[in-house]
Amino acid sequence: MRQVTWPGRTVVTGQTRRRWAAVLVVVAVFGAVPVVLAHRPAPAAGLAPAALRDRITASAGRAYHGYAQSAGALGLPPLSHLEELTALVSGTTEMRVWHAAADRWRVDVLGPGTERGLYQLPGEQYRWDYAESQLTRIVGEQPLRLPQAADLTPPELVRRLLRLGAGDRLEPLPSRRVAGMVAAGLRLVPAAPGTTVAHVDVWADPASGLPLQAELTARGARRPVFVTRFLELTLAAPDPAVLRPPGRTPGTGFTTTSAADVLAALDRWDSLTPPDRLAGYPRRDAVDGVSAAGSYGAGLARFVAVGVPGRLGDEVYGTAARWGRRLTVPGADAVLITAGPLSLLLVRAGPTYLVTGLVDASLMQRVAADLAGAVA
Amino acid sequence: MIRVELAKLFRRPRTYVIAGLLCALPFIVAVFLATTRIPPPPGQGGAFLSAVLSNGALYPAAALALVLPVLLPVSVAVLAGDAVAGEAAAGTLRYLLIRPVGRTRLLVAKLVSLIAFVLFAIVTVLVTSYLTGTALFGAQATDAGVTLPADVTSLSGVTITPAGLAWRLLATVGYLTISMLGVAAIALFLSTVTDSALGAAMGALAVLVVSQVLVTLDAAAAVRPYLPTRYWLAWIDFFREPVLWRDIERGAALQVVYLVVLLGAAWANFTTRDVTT
Repeated sequence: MRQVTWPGRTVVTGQTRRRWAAVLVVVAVFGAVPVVLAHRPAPAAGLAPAALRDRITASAGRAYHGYAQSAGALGLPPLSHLEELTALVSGTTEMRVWHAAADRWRVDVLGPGTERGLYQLPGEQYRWDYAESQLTRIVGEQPLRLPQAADLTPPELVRRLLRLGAGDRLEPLPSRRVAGMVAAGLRLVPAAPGTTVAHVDVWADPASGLPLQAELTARGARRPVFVTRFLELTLAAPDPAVLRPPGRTPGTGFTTTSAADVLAALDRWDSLTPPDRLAGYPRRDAVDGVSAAGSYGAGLARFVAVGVPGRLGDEVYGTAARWGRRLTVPGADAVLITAGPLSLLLVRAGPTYLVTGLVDASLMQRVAADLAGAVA
Repeated sequence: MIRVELAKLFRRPRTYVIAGLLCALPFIVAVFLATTRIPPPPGQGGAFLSAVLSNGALYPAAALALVLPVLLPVSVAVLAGDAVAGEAAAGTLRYLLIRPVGRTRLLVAKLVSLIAFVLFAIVTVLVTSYLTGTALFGAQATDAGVTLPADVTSLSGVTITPAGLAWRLLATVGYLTISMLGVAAIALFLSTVTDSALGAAMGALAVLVVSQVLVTLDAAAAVRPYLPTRYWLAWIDFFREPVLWRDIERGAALQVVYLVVLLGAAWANFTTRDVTT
């Protein structure tokens, strides 16, 4: 029998209300914890942008280890033979990073049930791919290679972008918390004509100068199209055992390749050397003595042209043609893919050239015309 | 009370039928793999499946990856949904509560019984898949004549010794048990709301399906860390070198939050509910 305390309310309903109130309080506490942690105010670092940039530049030898994540919304289609590269800028990449020195580090790219590890040792690299069950040793430094996940960790990407935009305008940004640390911010506003980048926002540890987060925003966009950041970070040297590459084991493949062999192979295709000038910019060899890849332009409007040999060039062009916009160029087939701020141009005029950079379509149109004219 | 619930759990044939079904899936997959020798392409199919042909000792991990996404949560949801609603539907809940037993104690006993089931089911899958793996895919004999599983290659390429594999598998059992707490808590709460065991189980499964869909949706990134299934696959990180604890810790903490909140809701609802059946 229910004891009536006042009309419409019993002891039982009162107990029920108290119990549900207790549950709601617990829910509110659990719900509030992440919100409060995420919105804790970050005190101002009191560091001028130029001083922060100098500290970032000087932090190259700093040891650290942590967990980083890059997320790109460039929507680049999976191009034949370049799937790994396009995935880097069009999706989320989870990385574990151990950095002891410039020539001794390890970056693992994590996937559900897979892992790809890159071990840098003095004078050599080891690549481990669990999905392929393959260990590859690369002897020698690789001055010319495709971009890889290790290039997208905040320290590597930020230093590269700041080097490219050395003369560009810097603006201060409010501090924010990244990986639990208070990070000082700066904005790099590129001045180079033809670039599609509106600005690059960088946050770094004010004490060590280590970059913790970078956001790249395209012209006309309201949100960043590419973000890389640490989710966890320890500013200490990693355990040396972690930097030791896996050994050869039965059941896993092992190959050794030499960076010198790759460069020699590239240099065999003299006919693929990009022109001396493209869109009015002179060519600088991406690697001294190797003419198969040329770098043009200045600042963040720099772009790279690479000759792609024979059938491989046809395959890459064929895939790009399915996704891109055809350009009208006398004497050549040309297709342009624009993915956010990134432009990718394929020109087939006998040999096939791949041109890419953070540059706009009008500049790429001039590049296509120059490539067609140079071959003709 | 807990002893009574545990005895009830292990007296019922359905416990063994469900455990048998959970063991059957990895066994069937192993038989197909062993007879055709066609593993899934590298990086595709269930985790670790592409590696088990050369190393049967890794098959327990592959088996857990097979049962985790669907079969195990469905089993837990069915049993948890039946915990209270089943008693009400069968007309035994009223008699159960006539005994001098608090309703809170009854809920806790039901939860402990569910945890015992999950542990029993996972360990059964682990043992049967280990035997299946070493029998169908191979083991190696040591100089001492003792048969040990071959060394296992971790996701990071580093060799895992048999001892290392053993602690990783035990840790996986613990983590999966914790991961199922959220499912059990959801179904147990719904079981106190309705007298239909099927309705409670279906409700819990609906929550899990919605969660799984949202986990894969980039547009839902803001809520992803709070979804009950977000960290289910984090146990795979035990097989990296060094072990990646980040998601494992977050997954365990998230399940504890779901357990506290939903068990609290079940307690708030059940302790003063009119029991008429």
